[in-house]
Amino acid sequence: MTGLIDTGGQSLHDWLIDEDIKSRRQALAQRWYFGLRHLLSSPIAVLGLVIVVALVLAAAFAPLLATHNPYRQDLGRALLAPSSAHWMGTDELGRDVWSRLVYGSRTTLYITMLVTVLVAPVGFLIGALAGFIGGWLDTVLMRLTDIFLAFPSLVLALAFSAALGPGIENAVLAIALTIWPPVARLARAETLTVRNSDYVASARLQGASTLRILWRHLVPVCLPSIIVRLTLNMASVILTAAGLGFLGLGAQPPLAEWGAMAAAGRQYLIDAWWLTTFPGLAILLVSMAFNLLGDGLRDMLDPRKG
Amino acid sequence: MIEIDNLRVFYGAGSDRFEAVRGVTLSIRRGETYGLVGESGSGKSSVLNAIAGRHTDWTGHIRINASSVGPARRSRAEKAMLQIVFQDPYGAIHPKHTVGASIAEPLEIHRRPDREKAVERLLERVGLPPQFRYRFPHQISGGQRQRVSIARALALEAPILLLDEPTSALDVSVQSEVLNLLQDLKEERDLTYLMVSHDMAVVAHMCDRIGVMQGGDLIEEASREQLISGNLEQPYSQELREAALGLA
Repeated sequence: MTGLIDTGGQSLHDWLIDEDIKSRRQALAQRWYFGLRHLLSSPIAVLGLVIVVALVLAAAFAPLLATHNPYRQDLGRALLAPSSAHWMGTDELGRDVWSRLVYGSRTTLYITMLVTVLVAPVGFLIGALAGFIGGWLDTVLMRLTDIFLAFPSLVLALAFSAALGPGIENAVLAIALTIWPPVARLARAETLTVRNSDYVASARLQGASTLRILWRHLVPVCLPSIIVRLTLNMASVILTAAGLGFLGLGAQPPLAEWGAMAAAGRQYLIDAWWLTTFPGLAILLVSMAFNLLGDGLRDMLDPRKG
Repeated sequence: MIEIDNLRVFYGAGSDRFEAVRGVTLSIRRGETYGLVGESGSGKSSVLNAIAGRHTDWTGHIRINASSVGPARRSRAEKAMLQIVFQDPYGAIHPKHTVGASIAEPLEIHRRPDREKAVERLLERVGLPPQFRYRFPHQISGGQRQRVSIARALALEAPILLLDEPTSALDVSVQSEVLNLLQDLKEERDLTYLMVSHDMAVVAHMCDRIGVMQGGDLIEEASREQLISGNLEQPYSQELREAALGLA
């Protein structure tokens, strides 16, 4: 490990805890190191992290983990109970449930990542601009946010999804449209607390532009809470995506998606319990993992702490 | 260097509009340290904020280095004329920026060349070791942070520094170090200081002249000699002086 980083002859651990910091890289590495140590000190957060990492690995190595082709139908082998050949049984079209579950992790990850990438910048920008510039812009943006917040998120996602048409990209858009308001609220609240701080005043006196203050001063302050908020929201994103899939508005067959899998298995609930149980468990496990990780990250990134 | 004529500063709007400074006129010469003293709410910080351009709701005239500035937006050149050293060293430096990044920021904004070297020189000048540039504010002490603030204020080589109670948040033992640093810098760079403070002892140590403010009015101006000998006209000024000496 020491070969990768120039530690000036110190062991990596000494380099990471040395108070006499000698480079910008070391300063950054130390921040990450202490953050990670803090996160790893909580077993619950570690559990969440492990499951999320497992999800990422499953998605990355799906072809290696899957025992069958997730899309190959074989009606002669339909609705088989879990066995050594089919670990989680087969569905009504004879497809292997375990393999579909593994490939379904790609869909889940795709949706959560895309929603995050869409929502974080949009939410931050709307909230930070409202909080920083204030006045009528604040009023307009925040009332708009209120309108979105007034609807239950699943109902809103359903409406958008129905208007945009079925499909996974549209489901992502629909979910993103329901997730940004709390992020904007959060960014605005954080912005209001630092807007009048001396360091922002000092940057302004030096001649910093609004854009520079947003990027250099507000982003580092808002980012931790936005990350925490989005991680905690991942559970509801996954559930909403599954819900849309369940109702036929999200992922379309034959794409493997956990919600759609659970929905399809509903008709055979009595005879083939494994069709709904395993996708259901996967949704539960991953949602819970994101929640646990979010809690851990909140403790680690708490802005009110050093 | 700084001339203020009939400065009136307002806060709030409509029926809540409140006049915090009621017509202050004063002038500060180049190389002078001028102290504004008074209790909380006397309007001394409002004067400073109006000069700095931090508060914009004011009337009257402010001239900095013989050129007039208005309440509206200022140009970069005007901004490079003066910098503030804030009261609270914990709030004045961005908690997520390293010390080096904080000091380099004004240089980046004004696109000055050779920033790395400049940061090193500034750290050295305020008496901090060069490795401190990689530390975060929570890794250094209050006095050290105030030195960082001072280094940042010096970065643009502004001829005027506005000192907003620069030592009141510090330990007594550290206070004098910071004051001496400011004193040395002033002589070395021919700076002009406007210092706002409620601490008469600090003001007597630093300032060539003082102005006493009460309820938004400048009620008396006096020289340092007058302050030390107690030759003050206004009973309120006397009171403040005696409170500082522990006589009251």
